[in-house]
Amino acid sequence: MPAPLQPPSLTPPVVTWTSERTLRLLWGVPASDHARRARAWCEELRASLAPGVLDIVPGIRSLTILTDPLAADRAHVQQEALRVVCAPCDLGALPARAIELPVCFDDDLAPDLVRFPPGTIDRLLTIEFRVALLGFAPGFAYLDGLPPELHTPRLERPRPRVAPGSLAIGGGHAAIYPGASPGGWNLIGRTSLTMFDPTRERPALLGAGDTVRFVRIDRDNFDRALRESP
Amino acid sequence: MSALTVIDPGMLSSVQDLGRFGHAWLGVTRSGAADTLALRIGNRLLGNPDNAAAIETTISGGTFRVEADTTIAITGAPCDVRINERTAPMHRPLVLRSGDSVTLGPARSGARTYLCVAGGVRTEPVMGSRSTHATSGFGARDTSTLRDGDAVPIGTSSSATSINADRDALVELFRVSSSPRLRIIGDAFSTECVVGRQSDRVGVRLEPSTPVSPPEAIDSEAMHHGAIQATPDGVLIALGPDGPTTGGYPVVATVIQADLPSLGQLRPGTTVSLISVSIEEAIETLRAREELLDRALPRADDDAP
Repeated sequence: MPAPLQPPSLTPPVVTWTSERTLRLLWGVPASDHARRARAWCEELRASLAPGVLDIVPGIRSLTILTDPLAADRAHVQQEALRVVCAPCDLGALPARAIELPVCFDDDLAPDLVRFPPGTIDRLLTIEFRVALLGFAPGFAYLDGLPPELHTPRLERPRPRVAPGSLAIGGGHAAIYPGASPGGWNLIGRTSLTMFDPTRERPALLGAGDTVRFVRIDRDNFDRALRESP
Repeated sequence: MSALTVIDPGMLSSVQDLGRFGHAWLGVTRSGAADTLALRIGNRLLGNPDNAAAIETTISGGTFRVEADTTIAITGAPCDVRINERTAPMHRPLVLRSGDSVTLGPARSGARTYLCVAGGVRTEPVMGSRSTHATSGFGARDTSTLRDGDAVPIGTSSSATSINADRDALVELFRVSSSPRLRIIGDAFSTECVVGRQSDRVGVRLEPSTPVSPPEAIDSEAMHHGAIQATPDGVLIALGPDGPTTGGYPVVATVIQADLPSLGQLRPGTTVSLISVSIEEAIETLRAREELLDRALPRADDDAP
């Protein structure tokens, strides 16, 4: 039986041109599956809005459209954006995937695990996380779903370099560092998968709205997977 | 393919074109020249498409050697240019012989000078752009900004194209675009700021005479080049081309697109005025600027190098 069509959001968005080139749709209370919806809106708007639209970016409770002000018809962009986000949508048809990430929790890969209560790893393995949005770095996905008792403040002194694939917790979010970058989140494991590769057809492994589960792997499997990855 | 050798990259040199568009939703920053107007002037002087990549130097300049006959143009922050030991002008095509070296002296004002090459810099594009974004690992040499000894591939120079520049229009273009002011949309809470020392391609720190009391932090949303964030320590950060795609500091105002090149030329210690304008004025200013640029220098055919 097909799922009933759902209203797009609990409240309509406030629409603002925050500059001559940026249209922001902001929801007071976002729908609980805002990320999935926003991803579907992005895909639809990307197809329907060119030319003059340069980037469409979901936020936690917003959607921002960046335009070329000399090429875009602002009235049309605004009208089209509102049409898309206010249309009823079939939640079952939204693009979102369930992804399992193999993670090794050996001590040397998890230097900050000591800051967490005993049993943290087992707890993490039971949680279904959801990608809220991508930001900070290419393919860096903010994961919702961390229980409050595992919320942990960022490090006072960020590390100058965090290894690619590091599983980290910062405040109320979990994330995987896709590339080597500076980072202030707590490192508690590492995945063997390549989270971002600009040469892949899908450069980012995770997309907004995807669900993520961590699967524990031992060091042999982790090392082998790293060796075999391109 | 011909090459250009980095003898001394100065404070910071990187390959930049007009930027990497359409991937912000994946967390991929736009990057691109901090002063796209200077890059486009340089490219048009050489008959390149606007988006051809060039080398952006920072404040201290740099020295480079060409390993083939080619034509270059130097634009952006004013500096002394030397070809081997001879003084050479900015904003003119300069014909070089293989082995010639070009030195860009320290910028007399502004922050970023561009070394544009006929045929453009031809590093391997990543996601549709040659722009460097060091922290993402996108750039010339494997990953990042330029170092001594790097060989940067460049296009082959087409037979001396002569570009008819309207020098009067070009001078007018410099006049309207080199001003210690930023026109903004929104309310920055302060009309005069001093550019702070920790300013770079990620963001320009604008320190108001009296600290602003920022609005509450927001749920992370899209950020972009020109957005002015109010931070908890009471200063403003105008995001540069390498700024993040999302952020949680409230955006209180946005630098108009026509003034982004001026933002890219701010150097620490400069006092800058912030002037509120309307969206209509912002668009009109941009349109007038583009018309002036087209009058000064014709747009080249758009087949990307």
